[in-house]
Amino acid sequence: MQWVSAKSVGLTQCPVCHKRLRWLASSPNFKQRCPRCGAGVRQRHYGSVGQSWALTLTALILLIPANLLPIMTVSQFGEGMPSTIMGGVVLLLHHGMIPIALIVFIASIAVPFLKISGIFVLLLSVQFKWRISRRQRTLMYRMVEYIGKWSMLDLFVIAITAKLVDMGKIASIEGNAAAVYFGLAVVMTMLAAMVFDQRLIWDSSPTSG
Amino acid sequence: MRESNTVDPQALPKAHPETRRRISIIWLLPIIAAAIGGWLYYDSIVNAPIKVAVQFKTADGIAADKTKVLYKGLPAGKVSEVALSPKDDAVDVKIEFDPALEHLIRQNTEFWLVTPTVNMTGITGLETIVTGNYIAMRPGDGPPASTFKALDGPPPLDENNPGLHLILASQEQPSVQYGSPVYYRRYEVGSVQTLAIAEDKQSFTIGIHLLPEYQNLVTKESRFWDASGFHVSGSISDLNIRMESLTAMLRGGIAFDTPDSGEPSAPAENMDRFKLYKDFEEAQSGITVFIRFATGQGLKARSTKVRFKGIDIGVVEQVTVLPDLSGVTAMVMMDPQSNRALREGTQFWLVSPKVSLSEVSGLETLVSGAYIDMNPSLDGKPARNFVARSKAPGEKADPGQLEIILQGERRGSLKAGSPVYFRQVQVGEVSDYELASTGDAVNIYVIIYKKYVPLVRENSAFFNVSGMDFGLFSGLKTDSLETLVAGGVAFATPEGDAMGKPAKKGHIFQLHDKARGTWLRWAPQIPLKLKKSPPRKEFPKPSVETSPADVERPQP
Repeated sequence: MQWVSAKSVGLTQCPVCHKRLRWLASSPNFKQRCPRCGAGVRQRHYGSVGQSWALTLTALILLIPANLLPIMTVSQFGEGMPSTIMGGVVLLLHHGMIPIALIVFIASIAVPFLKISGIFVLLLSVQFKWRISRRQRTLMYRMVEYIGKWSMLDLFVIAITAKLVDMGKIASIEGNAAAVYFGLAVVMTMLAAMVFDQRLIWDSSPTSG
Repeated sequence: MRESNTVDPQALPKAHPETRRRISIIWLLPIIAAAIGGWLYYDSIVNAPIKVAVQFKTADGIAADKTKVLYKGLPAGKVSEVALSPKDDAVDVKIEFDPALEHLIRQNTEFWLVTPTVNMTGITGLETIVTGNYIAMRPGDGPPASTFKALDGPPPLDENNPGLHLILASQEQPSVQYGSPVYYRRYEVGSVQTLAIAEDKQSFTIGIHLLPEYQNLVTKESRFWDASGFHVSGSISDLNIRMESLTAMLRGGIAFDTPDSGEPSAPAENMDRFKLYKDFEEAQSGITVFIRFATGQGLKARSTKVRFKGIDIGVVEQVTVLPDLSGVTAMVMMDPQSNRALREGTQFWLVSPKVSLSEVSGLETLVSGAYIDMNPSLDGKPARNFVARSKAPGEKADPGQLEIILQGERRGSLKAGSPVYFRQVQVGEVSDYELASTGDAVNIYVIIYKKYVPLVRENSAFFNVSGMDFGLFSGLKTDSLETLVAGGVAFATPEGDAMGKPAKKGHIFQLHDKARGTWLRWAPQIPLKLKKSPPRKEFPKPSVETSPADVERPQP
C-alpha cells in the first residue's frame, strides 16, 4: 500500500484540536502554534523517545520492589501474613479460585511487563530504525496505551477491600509498601506510552509497508 | 568592506544546525527510582531478618509462614520453613527474626511451642485457639547463635529470678501442671514451673517457684502435699473429707505448711529438695517408718493408726509381705513430732479387740479398728525400722520401774498384763514370758511399778496365785475373781535383815507354785514414797476371832 506521510509534503496537525496545518520548515527553531487553539504544534517530537525511555526505565525499576515487597496483608483473627503479588496469586490458586487468580495475574503481573516490553520494542524500533511492520507497531502502540489503565485494577482491589474488610481483630486487609511502587510503575508506563510520539514509527522506513 | 559585498552567499560554509543534545529533565525519574530501589535493597540487606534454626521433636502445630514467635506477647519472628532434619530424628524449623531483636537471640535462648491445653484441671494457652500455636522464647545470654534445640515445654523459671526455687519429688504424678498454683493456707504464693520424670525413672520431680515476698514461709521442715481435687479418707468412724480450694480442685495445685516443731528451723534455700506428699494427711504424718509384724492381721493400709497415749501420731500407709514370707512390713507415716521418740528401743505392738474370760480389752478398737500402740524410748540412736512386739509390753516403760525375771516350772495362766500382787495390791505386772534358753523352765518377765520397787528384795519369794488353790491360803487371800481366771503372781518379802538387798534390774527369782510356810505372814516394814498414804496404825487386836459371815448367815 502506497502512502505519503504528511511530513513529506510539509503538513502537520494540531495535537489538540486536530486542525491540519502547514509546517513552516524554514523556521524550525521557532515554536509553532496552532492558529485555532494555540497549542504547540510539532511535526515530530524527537525528544519523546528519550522521555519515553526514561519513563519506561523508571517503571521497570519500580516494578522490582513492587513485586518483591508485600503488597497487602490479609489478617484473619489477628493472624495475617503480608503477601507479595505473586504470593497472592499462588494463595488464590491454592484456594481453588483459579479465575480470580488469573485475573490478578494478568492485571498485576502480565500486563505491566507486557506493556513495558511493548514500549521497549517500539522505542528500540524507532531508535535503531528496525524494519518491522509499521502498521503492527501502531496497533501495538494503541493496545499498550489502551490497556495501561487496567493495571490499576489491582490497586483498586486493594483500596476497596481494605476499606470494606475492616473488622478489627476478626478480619482486616491492608495495603503494604509494594502498592505504592506498583502504582507508580503503572503511572510511569502510562506516561511513557503517552509521551511517545507514535508518528515516529512511520518515519523509520518509508518504503516498507 | 567592499569585499564583503562581493561574497557569493552560496560559497559560504553553512552554519551547522545545533542538534540539541540537552539531557531531558525526565531522566531524573529513573535515577530517583534507581535510588529508591537501591535504598530498598540496602535496607533489606542491613535489616535482613536474623535466620535461626530451631530443632523441634515434631512439627506438630508448626506451620511455615504462619507460626509466629512471640516474645512477651509480641511477634518477634516467624517460621519461614519447616523441614525434616537431615541428621537427627527431628524437625528443623527455620525462624526469621526482626533484626532489632538480635540481642535476644543468644546461645542460651530457649524456645518452646505453646499449644492450647484444655483439661479438667485447667485451660492454658487459650490465646492460641484464636491465634494458632506459637513459639515462645526466653532470651538467654552467651554469644550470638543460630541453631537451637527447642524445649518440650515451658522452661522453669530461671534460678536467678527473684523468689525461691524448690524441687519436689513425688512417687506418682501429681495432678499439677505448668503454672499450677502453690498454696500456703489456701493463699496462692507461687506456681509450678516444671514437671518431669526424675532421672531414676522412679519418681517425678516438680520444680516450683515461690514469689519473693513469700519465700520465708518455707523452712527446711516445710511439708508439701498435692492439693488437687479432694480427698476422702478414713473409715466410718473417722471420715475425713478435705479440699484445698475450688480452684485447686479444678486446676490442681500444691500446698505446703511448716509444722511447728517447737524449734526454729533454717529457712529453705534455692533448689532445696522436698518430698511431695500425696495428700494433707500424709504430709502431716510425714516420717516414714517401717515396722515388721509377724502377721498382717488387723493392719489396714491408710486406716490403722499409730497411737501414743490415745492420740493418733501415725497411720499405716502400706502393708507388704516380706520377701521370705515370714511376716509383713507396715510402712507407717509418723507425725513429725514423733521424731524424737523414733529410736532404737521404741516398741510397737498391735492393739486389737480382745474378749476373753479374763478381760475385755481394746474395746475401742471394735469401732475404730485395730491400732498400733507404741512405747517410746528416748535413748538410743534414731531408727526407722522396728520389729513389732507380739503383744503389749505391759506398763509403759518408766525409767524408775524394776524389771525382773521369774523362773518357774510352768507358765500357768500367766500372760502379758497379768498382775503382780503384794498384799493383794497390784504392784506390777507380767510383761512377757518365754521359755528359758535351756528349755527346762519358763522365764516370766515382770515389771514392778516405780513406787513399789523397794518392796522387791533379793530374798523376796514369788509364787503363783493362779488357779483354784487360792482358797487354801489364809492371810493373803487371793480371793479376787480376776486372779482366779487371769492368773497372777504374788510375792512376799521377809522381815528385818532377812529381806536382803534391794533387787536389781534383771534379777532372777524362782517362781513357786504356791506360797510356802510363813511367807504369808511376813510383814516387813519398808518405807515407800507414797505421800498421801498414811502409815500403819496399831489397832487393838480382837480377843476372839469371829467371822461376821457366820453370825449373819440366815438359818435355812
